[in-house]
Amino acid sequence: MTSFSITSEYMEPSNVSIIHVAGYLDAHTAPELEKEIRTSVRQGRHRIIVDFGSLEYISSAGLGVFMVFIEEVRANKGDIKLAAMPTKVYSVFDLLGFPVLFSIYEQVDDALAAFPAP
Amino acid sequence: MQLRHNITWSFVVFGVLFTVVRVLVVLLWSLVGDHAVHENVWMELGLSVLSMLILTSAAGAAATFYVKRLSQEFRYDNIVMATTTFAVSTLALLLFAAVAPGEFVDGRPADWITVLTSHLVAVGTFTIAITLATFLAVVALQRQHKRTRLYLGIQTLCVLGIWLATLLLEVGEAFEAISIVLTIIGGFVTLLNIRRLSWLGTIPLEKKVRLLWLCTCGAFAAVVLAVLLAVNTESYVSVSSQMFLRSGICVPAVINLYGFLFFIRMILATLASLPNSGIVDRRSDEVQALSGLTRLVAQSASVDALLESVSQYALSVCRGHGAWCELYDGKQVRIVGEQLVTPEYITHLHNETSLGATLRSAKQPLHVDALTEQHVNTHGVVLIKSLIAIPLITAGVHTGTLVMFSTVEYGFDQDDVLLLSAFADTISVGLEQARLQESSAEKERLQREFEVARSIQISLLPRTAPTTDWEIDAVMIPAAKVGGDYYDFFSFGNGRSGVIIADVSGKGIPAALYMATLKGVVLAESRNATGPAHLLRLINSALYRTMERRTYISIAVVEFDSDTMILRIARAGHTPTLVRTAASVKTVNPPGIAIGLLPSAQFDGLLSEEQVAVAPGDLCLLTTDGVTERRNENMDELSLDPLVTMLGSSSASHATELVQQALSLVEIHADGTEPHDDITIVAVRIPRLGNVESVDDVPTRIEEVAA
Repeated sequence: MTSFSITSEYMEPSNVSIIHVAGYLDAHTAPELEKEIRTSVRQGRHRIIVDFGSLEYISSAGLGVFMVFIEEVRANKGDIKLAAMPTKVYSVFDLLGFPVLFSIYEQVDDALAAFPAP
Repeated sequence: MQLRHNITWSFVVFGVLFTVVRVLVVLLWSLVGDHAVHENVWMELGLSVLSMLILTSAAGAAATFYVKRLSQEFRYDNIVMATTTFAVSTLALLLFAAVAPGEFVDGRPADWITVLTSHLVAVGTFTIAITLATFLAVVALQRQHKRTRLYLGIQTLCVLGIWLATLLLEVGEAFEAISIVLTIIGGFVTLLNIRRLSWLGTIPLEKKVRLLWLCTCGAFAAVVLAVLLAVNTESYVSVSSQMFLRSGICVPAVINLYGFLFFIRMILATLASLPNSGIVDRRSDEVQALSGLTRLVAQSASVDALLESVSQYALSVCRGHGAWCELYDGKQVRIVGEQLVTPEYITHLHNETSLGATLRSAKQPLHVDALTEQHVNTHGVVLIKSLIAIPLITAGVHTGTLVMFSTVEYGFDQDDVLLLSAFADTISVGLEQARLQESSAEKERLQREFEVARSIQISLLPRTAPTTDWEIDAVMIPAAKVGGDYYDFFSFGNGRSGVIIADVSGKGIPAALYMATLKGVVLAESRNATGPAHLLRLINSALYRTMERRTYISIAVVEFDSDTMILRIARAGHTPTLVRTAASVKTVNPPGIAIGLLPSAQFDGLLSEEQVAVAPGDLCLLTTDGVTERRNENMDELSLDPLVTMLGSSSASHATELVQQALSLVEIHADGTEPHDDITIVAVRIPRLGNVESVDDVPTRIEEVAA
């Protein structure tokens, strides 16, 4: 019923991992995203952009995932930046006050540009 | 397969081609040139070379044909086919030789018809003999033992030796004795090489009778041909063969003699197995019945008991010297149902030798006749010399292996592999059954966890609404997978009434436990709090440190000051609070981030309160996202707007009524679909001054889902 897919790419020159999520991000699918982010962090890639462009739905469990890593990546001079959120997804983030915690950008490119040059 | 087919046919084509060339040469030399066939040494050599080429082609064709059969199962059907072909072609040859006797004058064919027929008879005789020899070799190789190849080599040498001895007969009489000795040795070796005829016992009576009859025909044909060739040197068959290959007559004669021995041995073995036919048939039924029985056992008994009984039974049927089952769970290997071998030894095999890895990676049944690696047991005795390993495949996954071993080389044949495969199928069914049972046990466990979580959740919610200066009511409907919704009624330290609604992220027991913690904090801190925002700050500072990073709680708190008729509302990441005044419906959404995300230093600064002046009869509605995000069949969420509209037109005269109206709005939207999240609705109505109804008799309802 609820489908979720995740793909990631690594931008070599700017040292940024971009994770594209699509479909429904909820308690069932959140572990997949968590695994993906963990993989990036384990590889020492602490500059992460999550692209919400194709995400249809996010639940509270989906939001918690970002909290797991944010302290660690910031401690390593990295960040998790969120980009291209559909209005509905943004409103869930907004309601919970997440925009205070994360930098949210209109476009993935904006997020990419926001990282200081390595 | 197609390639081999082509090779067979090219051999046949070459054989025919060489035969035609030879016939033409003989015709020209003998009839046109009017020479005796063998009077010129060079001509004789040339003709012999052609004969050899023809024989090689026949041998090649027979070998490739039977190698094709060898890759398949070679028993009853193929033996019947080969024997029938042999008997029929031999009798046809003899009939042909009897009907069309040619004429020879001075050792050369009298006419061209004789040249043709003598060639046909000779080539036929040799081809039949060579095909028979190939067939016998293939039968021996199919059920090979340690010395099969050696014996086959000896037989071939015997036949060649006999031919050489016959060639040299003119030189000395002693060679006759040599050829006789070689014939006897060859015959003895033939008998030695025909082994493992026990499979005859497993075929039904009807087939045995047919085999008996065919083998008799085969034996008859072989003996007639052998005797005719060996004794009657004047016969047409003999003369033709002799002209085809000098002294070559002994080759088909000896081969036919060995063929005769084979057929006699087959007849004796079949006869010996005849009396048990009834038992065999019953035994076969028993095996089938057992197979069905095991399936039944699999439904009730444990997997281990099933594996135990299967390996036990397999051992008794397959003449092995030991057996075990191993199951794979990640990197772990569990040994079950080991028979006549200790688990320590098997573990040793896995840890110390390459056998373990071989077993684990086997995707197809593995049949090893002679292990090259030495597998000694704890007493230093070599145990495993040959083995069969059948992978157990459950739901497409290699979950284990059924292993049977023997302490001698060549301990098993193809029949044992087939039988064990059938047993492995039975086990796979059992394992699949067990897996299903386990997953249903897992479901039950989750169900119990859900019950516990739900009972925690429900026990934490207030049973009745307190008698305060506002009317209040609430409802909470837990979803199938309990969420972490919570609401409570309390009084602030200054005596004002307060209500809290919260939603813990995540589900199940963890969410229920966070909720319990939250209730404790609310109970303790509400007396110290000066207002909603203060209470939220106290809650965050109490919980932030202990909460898991991925978990957070969204909360809304409302305080009612009946003196100033003001609602003070604070929100920590929670769904907006709706307030209906005479003028409008306000969506109250003051800034604030969810509890547990930030330490007090940052959290406190982000939080602020909003105040709404109210009058008697005004309504206030608090919900969790289970309400606004309630989806229907089309996955459409309810959203906040319908609630705003409903509240605007509500004529609720009591909080309970408003709860009811909100609930029915949710239910109409959901249209019977299963809720994914808890649904919590808290409703407040501002009573007329000094006219607070007693609500003691209005219990809050906690409706439970009829799961």
